[in-house]
Amino acid sequence: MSSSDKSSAARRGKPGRVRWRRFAAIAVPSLAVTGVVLGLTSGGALASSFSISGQQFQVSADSLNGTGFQQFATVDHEANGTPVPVAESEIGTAKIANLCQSVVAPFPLGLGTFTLRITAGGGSTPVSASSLIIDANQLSGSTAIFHNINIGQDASTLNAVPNVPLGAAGTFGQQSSDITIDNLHQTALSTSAGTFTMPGFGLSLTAGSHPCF
Amino acid sequence: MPDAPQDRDPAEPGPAQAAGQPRDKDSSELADDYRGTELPPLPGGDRDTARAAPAGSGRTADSPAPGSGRAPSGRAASGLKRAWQGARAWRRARPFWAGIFLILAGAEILVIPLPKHFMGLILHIGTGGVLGILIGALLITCALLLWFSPAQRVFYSVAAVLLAIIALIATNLGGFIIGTLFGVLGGSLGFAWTPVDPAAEPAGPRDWPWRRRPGRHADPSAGLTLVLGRSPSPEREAADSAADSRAPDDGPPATGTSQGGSIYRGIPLLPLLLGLVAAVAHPAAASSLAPRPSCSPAPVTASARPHPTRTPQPAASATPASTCGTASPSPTGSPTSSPSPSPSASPGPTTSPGPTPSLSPTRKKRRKATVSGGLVVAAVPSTISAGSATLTGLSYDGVANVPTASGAVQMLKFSMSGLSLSGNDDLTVTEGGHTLAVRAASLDFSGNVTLLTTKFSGDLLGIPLTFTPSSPPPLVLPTMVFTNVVSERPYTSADALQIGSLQITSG
Repeated sequence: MSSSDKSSAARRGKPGRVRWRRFAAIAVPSLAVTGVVLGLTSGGALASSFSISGQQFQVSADSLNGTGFQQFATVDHEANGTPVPVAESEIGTAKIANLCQSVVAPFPLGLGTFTLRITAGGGSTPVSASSLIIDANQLSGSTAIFHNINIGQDASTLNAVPNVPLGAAGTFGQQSSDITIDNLHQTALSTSAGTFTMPGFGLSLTAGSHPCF
Repeated sequence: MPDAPQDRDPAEPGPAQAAGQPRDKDSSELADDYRGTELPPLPGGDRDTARAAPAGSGRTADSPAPGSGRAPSGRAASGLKRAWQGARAWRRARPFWAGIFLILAGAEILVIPLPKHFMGLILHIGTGGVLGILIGALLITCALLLWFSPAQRVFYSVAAVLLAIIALIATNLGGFIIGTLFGVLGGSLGFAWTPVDPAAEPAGPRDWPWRRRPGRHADPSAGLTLVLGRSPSPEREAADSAADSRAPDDGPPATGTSQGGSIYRGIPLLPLLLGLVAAVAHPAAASSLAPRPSCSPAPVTASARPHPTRTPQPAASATPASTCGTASPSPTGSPTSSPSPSPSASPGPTTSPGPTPSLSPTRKKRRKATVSGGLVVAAVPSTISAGSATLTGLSYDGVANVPTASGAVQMLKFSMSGLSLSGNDDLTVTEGGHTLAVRAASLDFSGNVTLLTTKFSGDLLGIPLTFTPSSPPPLVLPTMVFTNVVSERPYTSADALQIGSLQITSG
């Protein structure tokens, strides 16, 4: 055995193995904490932060009640770089009844599609969100009520929602002091929410396509 | 192999050892661990390195001894085989699968909020996105450090587990829980990985951290019991130490005594870190991360709507206390009283400060209207069309010089108490080759409705009419019903708007 072999063996270090009790000693309490956090989230006691980008997903709700609303047109990009024009809606604080959010995406290696679906606020307590930003390329509602609305304002001068990005100067924007939309359906490309409390939240991952609407 | 005989020493824990005094054996343990890195061996490591050769040849059964790869096959095959063996040895010498799971977790958490195009989109991702990218990158860093610096694996493993749990609150429920689970799995695997001494291999149930001999490894149990809620009673410690002296110790702990102790003590930081993240997720803190708008108009401006009246009273439009660079038209006197050119010069930088071109002598009286201070309307082309429009409480206020981002625009100004559009209401905005289409079955504006438009056309009792700033309406009735209405570049404000069957499409 040459000395170079010896030193390389020394550099590689000793082989190791996983000691499963040691594994359990940290995995079990960590999973317990994970469960507690999820429980608190589901109880509406703990807020989460959300940010999704580059993947088409659906959002539906029985009703959305927002304080501070503004909207303007901008351009998002899909994962492959395709530009997608979207209407960016920004809501200061929102109460959302019976929220459903679904992503239908292909499994890796061509194993069909799967659906990730999040539901919350189906009970008596609605979902509440702050600094909600949704870039949707389709939005519909059975009725929509706005108060103190301006339509056609320069999107760079919108001021109904504090601390959110604004549109480019000269572009078309609208804002209102509050908004109520019933039977909201959106196809969105990106979203972010500063805080999101989700009472009664449920998450399901199923094979096949089971979107919210 | 090297340390096994000393491990079996029934060394009674003395106070000096409990205080973390490293003995010769401990430093050789450290040297063993440091062999996985490029760090120089500690004193005492020379003896250890000398013993590395027999330890290497006595590896586990399926790991061939060095030198067996030099079979009399082709040189290339031998090279391949050596490379494969090298890769396998590399993989075995570090918590490989822990790193794989942590990389998967980090990539998943990182990719979800990552803007797929960096043209200004970085502003849109919000706190959750920033935290997602940070946590994902840190998990991947932990994985790489576990691989390339396995001596410190306990620290990186615990950090990875904590990060994975923090991600649950901080970003997209930890990548919709998947990332958190992978992170906990990978971190736990890294924590549980230990270098094997072949002789000590069959030592089974001896790896509970809190079962360590109290003298040498008392610190670990303090940390873990805090997490697990176990209070170390003297009886249990006595039993533990008794068990320790009965069975052999199975290999060195993750790191040296003092290092391991500090790491274990880090575990109770877990709830503290969670609390920290909750504080970060608090809106106040979150808002400080969010981008600030470029201007902050005072709330007065929104309500400071000048009342264009026909009586010659000075319109007391409040000067907007706006800090942004938008145009702020100065209050002009009521235009009806004086046909003299009172130039409504706007001092804002975006408008032309010269006198308005409404002084053309061709029209006898050109009524001028004002718009509320601070208002800037969109500069892009837009059109609203409707099957029919009912305008109630209508008055025509005149031609207003309205600031836009690309200079002032002359617009007709109408005031109404109510405006109802029905029958295929369409608002189409064209911007940069894309269109934003708002379609509704009905649009009902009510209360202080203001309509500014560059062109208004429609059929009044079957007669097509078109109004523009150069040909304004000669007179209006309090209530008018138009059909086939088209308004170009409309700006509408109202106290309330109700929309039936709203549909917004962009394409």
